[in-house]
Amino acid sequence: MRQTTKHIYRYRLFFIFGSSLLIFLFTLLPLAYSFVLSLQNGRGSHLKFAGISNYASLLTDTTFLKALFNTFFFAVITVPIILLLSIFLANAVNNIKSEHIKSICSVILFFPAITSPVAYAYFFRNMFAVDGFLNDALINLKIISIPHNFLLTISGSRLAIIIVCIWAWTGYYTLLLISGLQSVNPILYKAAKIDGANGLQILFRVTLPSIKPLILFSSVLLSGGVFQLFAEIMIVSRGGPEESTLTLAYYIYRLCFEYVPQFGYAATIALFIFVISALISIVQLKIGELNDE
Amino acid sequence: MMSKIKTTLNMLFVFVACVISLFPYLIIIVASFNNTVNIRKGDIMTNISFNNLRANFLSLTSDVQFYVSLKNTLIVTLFSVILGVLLSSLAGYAFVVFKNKLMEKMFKISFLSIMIPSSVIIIPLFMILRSLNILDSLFSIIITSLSLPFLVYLFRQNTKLFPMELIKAARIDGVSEIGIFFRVYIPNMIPAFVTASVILFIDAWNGFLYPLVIIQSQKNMTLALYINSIGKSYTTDYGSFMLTLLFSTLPIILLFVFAQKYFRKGMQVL
Repeated sequence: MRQTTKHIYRYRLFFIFGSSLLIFLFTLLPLAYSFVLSLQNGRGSHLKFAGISNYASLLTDTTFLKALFNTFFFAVITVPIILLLSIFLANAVNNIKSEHIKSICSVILFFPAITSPVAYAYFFRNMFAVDGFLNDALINLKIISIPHNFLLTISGSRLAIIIVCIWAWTGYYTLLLISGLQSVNPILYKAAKIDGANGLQILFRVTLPSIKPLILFSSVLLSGGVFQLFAEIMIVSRGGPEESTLTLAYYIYRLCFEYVPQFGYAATIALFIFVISALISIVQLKIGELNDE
Repeated sequence: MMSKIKTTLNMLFVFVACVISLFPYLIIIVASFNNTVNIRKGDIMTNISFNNLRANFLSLTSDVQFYVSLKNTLIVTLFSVILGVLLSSLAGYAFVVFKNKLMEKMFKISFLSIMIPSSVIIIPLFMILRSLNILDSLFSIIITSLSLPFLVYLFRQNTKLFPMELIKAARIDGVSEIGIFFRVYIPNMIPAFVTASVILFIDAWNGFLYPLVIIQSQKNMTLALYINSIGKSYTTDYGSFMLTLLFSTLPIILLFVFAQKYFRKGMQVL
């Protein structure tokens, strides 16, 4: 018996070698390297040690502060809207009696989640453009008389980004919550009905408390998603006008690939994103635990 | 009576949401049947014709770059799926079947890596690839965008439900450990393998940030980069552009519709 166990253990390395190597090389090593980079300064490939000067620059870089504000702005607006929408939508889909229609609807609702971000970003850019079909529709309906250039006004382009995010992400979280709803014990619903609870009471007193961990998990994922907001920004609004839609992720890209690269400084911002999103996750999970007590 | 109204409202809400989900697809499909002039005018409903569709198709297929990027995307997708599924299933299996303290620690590291966002590591990753001299290659896209931490977790969770008796029985029959994995484990874990393949397929096909940073030459462009390069230009032929958008999104939709039953089963254990 002992020999067989020994013989089994020799295979361990073989089984986990490939994935461990790639995770180490292309996820963990870059994370460690970005810390090293954040202590270096300079343009292009001429990097030299600069201590914490990059971190100090963060405080005075107005573009960074704008991007930070915008990212939080998008998070504060989109996360609650998407969560509420997907809760109501998941509940509505779950209320459908026919299993067949239920599954067709959930598949269709998932389409945005599997659509190429580049493709939908270009679709929405064309939609919001000054000669795009949103303007045509609004003019035809006589709501406005001259085309409105959404993407050249601060509120318009922010609204466009928010709409894109809601379209792209709501379906994914709806499906996540539907799978949670299906695991809620049906006896709870029966009991609530016998007690005479109405639909909304059942939703808020029975359904939501039972899937609270999943809602919390979704809010963590969603805020993480906002900190990653990139393709949509780059394509729909290019961060403008006046950097009003510039996000942290897009600012990093700009610093490295649109002007003379400042890898050190960009890595500092990247680390900042990592710390902030980790903190947000911890806070959200802690709040969840406190509520449980 | 009251409940009937409620059911109708409920259904209406879901229906509207479904239409909004499909909305870009509907517009893109209709627009593919139009020419650029009509699309720019925003008048896409009155000029639908197959001649326009044919013209758009010819214009799209006459672009050599389209074939090049389609071919590259197929290569990246194929190898991502094969390599990603193989590596993550081997590891996910081992973390359950060969479990001990060290393996648990390795799994924890792998699991926590899920939390590291791609935008955080993109710069150092770019510099590492550059110093290895493998920038601007399809190979680099493949090995960097396998989402291994998540898939290892997916396979580990699914493996926990796998009956260990089967493995023990196969060992008594003298089947090697690798043989057990390929001949006992894989045939019994089809939902998990389909789920992982679908996720890898979608990620590889839709991938944008990594290819954008890694690829520099036209001959290595993927479809997402190709769309970006046409979309950016000022002289876009909108008719064929809409068709390009359709071509780049439809394969994923079809794949998902066919695989969704397995997909849900595979994701349930998370």
